[in-house]
Amino acid sequence: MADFDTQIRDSQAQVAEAQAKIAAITARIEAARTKLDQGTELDVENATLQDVRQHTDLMNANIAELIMGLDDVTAGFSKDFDEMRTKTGMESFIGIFSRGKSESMRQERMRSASVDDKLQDLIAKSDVIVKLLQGQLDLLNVQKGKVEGNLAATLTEREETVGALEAVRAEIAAMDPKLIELENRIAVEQDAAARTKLETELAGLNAQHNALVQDEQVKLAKSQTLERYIEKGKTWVDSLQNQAATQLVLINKLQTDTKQRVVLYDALTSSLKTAQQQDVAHRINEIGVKTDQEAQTAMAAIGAATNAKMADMLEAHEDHMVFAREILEQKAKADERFARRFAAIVEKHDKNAYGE
Amino acid sequence: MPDAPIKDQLTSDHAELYDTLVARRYFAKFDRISGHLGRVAAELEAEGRLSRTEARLLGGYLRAVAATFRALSHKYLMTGRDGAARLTIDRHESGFPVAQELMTMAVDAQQAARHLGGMPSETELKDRMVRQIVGDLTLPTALQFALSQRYYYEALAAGGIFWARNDPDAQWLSNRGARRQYLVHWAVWDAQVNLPVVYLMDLEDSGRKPLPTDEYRWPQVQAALMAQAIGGLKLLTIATGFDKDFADLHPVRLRRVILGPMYSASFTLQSGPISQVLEGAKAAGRTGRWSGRSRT
Repeated sequence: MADFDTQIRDSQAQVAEAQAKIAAITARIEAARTKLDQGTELDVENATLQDVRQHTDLMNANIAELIMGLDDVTAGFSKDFDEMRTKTGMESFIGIFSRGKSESMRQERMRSASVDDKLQDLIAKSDVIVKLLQGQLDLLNVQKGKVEGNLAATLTEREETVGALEAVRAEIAAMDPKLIELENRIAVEQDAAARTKLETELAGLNAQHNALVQDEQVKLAKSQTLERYIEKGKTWVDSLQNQAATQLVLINKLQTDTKQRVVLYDALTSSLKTAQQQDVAHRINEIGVKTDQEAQTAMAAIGAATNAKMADMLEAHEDHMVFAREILEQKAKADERFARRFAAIVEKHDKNAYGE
Repeated sequence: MPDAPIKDQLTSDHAELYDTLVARRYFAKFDRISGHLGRVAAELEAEGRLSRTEARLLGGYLRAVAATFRALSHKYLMTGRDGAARLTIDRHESGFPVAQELMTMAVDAQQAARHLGGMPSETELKDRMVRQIVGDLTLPTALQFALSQRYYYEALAAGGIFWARNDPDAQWLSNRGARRQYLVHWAVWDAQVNLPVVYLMDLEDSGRKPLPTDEYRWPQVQAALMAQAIGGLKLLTIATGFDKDFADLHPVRLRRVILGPMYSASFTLQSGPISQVLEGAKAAGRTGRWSGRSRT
């Protein structure tokens, strides 16, 4: 797997490209809106939408992989922890001659070991990814707002157009009986002068009728264009909505994981370091065996105090459990959402099957 | 990706402040408490448990803690609105923000200059707010958030803040024969208990060069002390290890001062009798826990 910085750069480029494409589509939809009145055809084709959708899928897969890639950053921690637990080659070698010297060398190394820088690094890296996702989410929301505003205006306009269309059709329908009546009267008229007058009247009415029919055609075409536009706009809003949901899931997952990791690694470091005290504890125990009754009584008192402390801690544990349940539920939800969306990537990652 | 349940166990006592008013009340409470802490230190000095120098150093750390809280209160001023971030605190036996908040703050501080450079100035933001209020008759929450973040980065840039790690500093006290006496002090935000912890060590130096100007020993000493600043370690363990690692440095006395925890019936969970006292009194109090150990 490529190193983290390269991946970040890749993803940044991907995000920039996806954002440009998304903005371009919205711009097209807006431009089409202004041209609609001139009856221009809408040029956002299904192919273009498909292209953007594919690209954002690719980008999201990339970011999901980036989040998985944090696991590799964390692998560095496990190396550190291993080093604290085990002896180096040199220490093992010295251990052949002197066990005490080898052990004290290891302890000195452990005393000065620190994972703080790494923790800071983990937080910073996860922060970079969250910023990336947040930027994408913001853009999606802005674009969604724009298109939605546009759609609302278009819907109103389409309603008006449909209303006008209905009115024209009613007018045409009202003209039909008049035309039939005139034609009938022409058929039975005997007087030539009256007949000519009626025919002129019919010609006038016919011209009016034709004009109305033409108007109907124009209105119908406009209504259909608007309908197609609304269709495309709705698809686009759906797509934006879907992408925004994906971003939210990713952000949620990443933040929860980072929070828990930092605490876990810190706790492990502390407990590894605390182990050096066991050496001292053993010695106190040896003295306790050798010294007299009084010292033993003192030891017992310490034991009693420890028991009391343990009881306190157990009591505190009850409170912990109440919390833990709530947090576990939240965590389960975040995990489930993540797994649902990125089942394919998670599976690949688990199987380590990249490049297949 | 099933995570080990231990991760959940470890963060189980962390709680997010998700409401604007709750977060602001929390910071107001802390502001009051840190106002009292200075007097507590002065009282301890009067009782003779702290020397003048020690009281002064502790006062410095207390002011730093207060500055940290002020910075955080700017950062989380708009919590709960417009998707602003939320503060996570440790509810159990601490009441302080979790150590991760402090680490995040350190990351933020590295970028403070860049953020401030790219932000509109305070007057400009206020001017825009007025225009939005008068022009659109709406609350300028987005601008308010921007300004709160500006205050936050300004506080970080101003410094004087209690960080997650505060590296050791040495204060020369006197010379005893050939040995120089120092008071070495350092502080961490303990990640296990989520409390600020100050360490004070009386140290005798028999090296040829004075310790703080010895570019060979001093960085090593600093690294060693910071790596050992863990709440789970006994003071004896820290001091013995230090004595062993540095031949010409002789720790005489090591003390650990925990600045906290904060007890408040509305924010924290207490085990033991203190919880009943607080629930009964419906009052918020604060106790200082001081633990020390001498070694000669």
